[in-house]
Amino acid sequence: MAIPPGEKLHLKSDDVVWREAGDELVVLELSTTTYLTLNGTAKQLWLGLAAGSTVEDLVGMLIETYGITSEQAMSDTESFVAELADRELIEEEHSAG
Amino acid sequence: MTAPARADRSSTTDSRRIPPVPQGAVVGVYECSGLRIASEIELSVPLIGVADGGDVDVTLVMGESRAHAFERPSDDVVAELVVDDYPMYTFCRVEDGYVCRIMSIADFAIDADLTRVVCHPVPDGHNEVIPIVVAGTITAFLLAGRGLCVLHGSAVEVAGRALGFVGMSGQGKSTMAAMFCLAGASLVTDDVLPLEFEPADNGSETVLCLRSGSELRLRSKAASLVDRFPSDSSVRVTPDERHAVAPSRTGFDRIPLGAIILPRPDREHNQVSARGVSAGEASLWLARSQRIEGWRSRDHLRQQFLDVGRVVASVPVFEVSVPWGPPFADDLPEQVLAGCGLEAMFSGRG
Repeated sequence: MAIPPGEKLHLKSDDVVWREAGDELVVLELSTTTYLTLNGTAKQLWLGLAAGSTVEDLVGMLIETYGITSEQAMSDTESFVAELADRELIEEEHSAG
Repeated sequence: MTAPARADRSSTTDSRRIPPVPQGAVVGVYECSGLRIASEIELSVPLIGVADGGDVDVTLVMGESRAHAFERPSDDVVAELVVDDYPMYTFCRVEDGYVCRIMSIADFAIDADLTRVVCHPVPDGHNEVIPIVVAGTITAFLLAGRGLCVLHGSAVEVAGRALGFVGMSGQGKSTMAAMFCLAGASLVTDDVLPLEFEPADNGSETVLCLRSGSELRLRSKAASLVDRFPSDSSVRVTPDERHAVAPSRTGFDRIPLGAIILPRPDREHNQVSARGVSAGEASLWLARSQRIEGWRSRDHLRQQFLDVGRVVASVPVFEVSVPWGPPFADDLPEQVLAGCGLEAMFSGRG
C-alpha cells in the first residue's frame, strides 16, 4: 500500500474496537471476530493511526521513541500499514481540497 | 479452609431422571442468576415460590411442539455455535424478538424485551434436557441482553470473596468448584458466571459475581468427588448424564470477584503450577470463554469486548495447571491458592 506523502490514514472504526490492557493493546476485528494483541512498536503505530497521524508523523514518532534510523522507522511503518491494509482495517483520507 | 465431614455414600446416589416436560403445568417461580423466572418447566435452580401474578423478570411457558428445519430461523444471526459443521444452536433476530433454535431439542421464542420465552419442543426430541438448556444457554442470553457480562464458568465463595473458574467446556471448572466446596467453600454458581460492575471508592470498579443455581454438575470422571460430600447433600444424575451435587450455597446474592482461575487439567505432574496472566492475554482467554459462544451481533461483540476489559482491569487472572484425577488430592485447593499467592485474599486477611 503506497501512501502519498502527507496522506492521513484512518482506522475503520466501525470495523474494529480496541483498548489498552496493561502494556498491550487488544484489538477486536468485528467482521471476523479475530482478536489481536499489539505491543511495542505495533501498539504505538496503532495509537498513532487512531489519532489520525500521517505516515510521516508515525515515522517521526518511532525515531523519537525508539531512537532508530529513519530507514528502519519507515520500513516498520510501511510493513505495519501494509498488514492493516491487507486486513482492510484502514482507509486513506484524501487531504487535498 | 475447613473441610466438612465426609461420608461414604457411593451406593446411595439418586439416579432419578426428569420426566418429559409437561405443558400447562403449575407455574413455579425460580431464582436463576439474579432473575426471577416464572416457569411452567421444573428447573433445577432454587424454587422461591409459586407464581401469583406478582413481579417476575421472565415468564417461561410451554408452547406447542414444533418440528424445526435444519436451518436458521432468519438471516439475522445474533449468535451461533457450530461444532464440526453441526449447528448446536443459533439465536436469530425475528420480527417480534428472537428465536433460539437448539437442534433436536426445541425452539425458544423470546420477545423483544426479553421478558417472555415460549418453548416449542421438537417432537420426539431430547425434551429431558430442556430444563438444563433454560438454566444455561437461555438464561445466559437473557442476562447478556440485559447488559451483564456472562462468562462460561463456575465460582465459589471463600471468606466473603468469589473465586471464579473460567474456560471452555471440559476444562474442569465444575470439578475445581467441587474441590473447593469440599474444602469448606460455598457455591456461588456453576456453568453460568454472570458479572456486574460497581464503582469502587478508589475510582476503580468492583466486579460482582451473581449467585446462580444450587448444584454442581460433574462429568463422570469427576463423579468420585460426589461421594466425598456430606451424606445429607442432595445428589442426582442429570438428564445429560452429569452427577449433580448441591453443596452449601453462599449467603450473598452478589459477591465481589477476587480472582479468576483458568484451570488446565494436568495428568502428567503431581504439583500445582500457576502463573499470573497479563491483561492482554487474559482478555483473549475471557473473550473465548463467553457462556454464549459465537456472538455475531456487533453490538454484543463490542459490549463483550469492553466488559472483558473491565474485568481484567480489576481482577487478577491466573492460569493454573492442576494435577488431575481421579483420584484428586485433598489439598488441591490449598495448593492452588498458594500457587497463585492468593492465601491472604481468601483467608479474610487480604
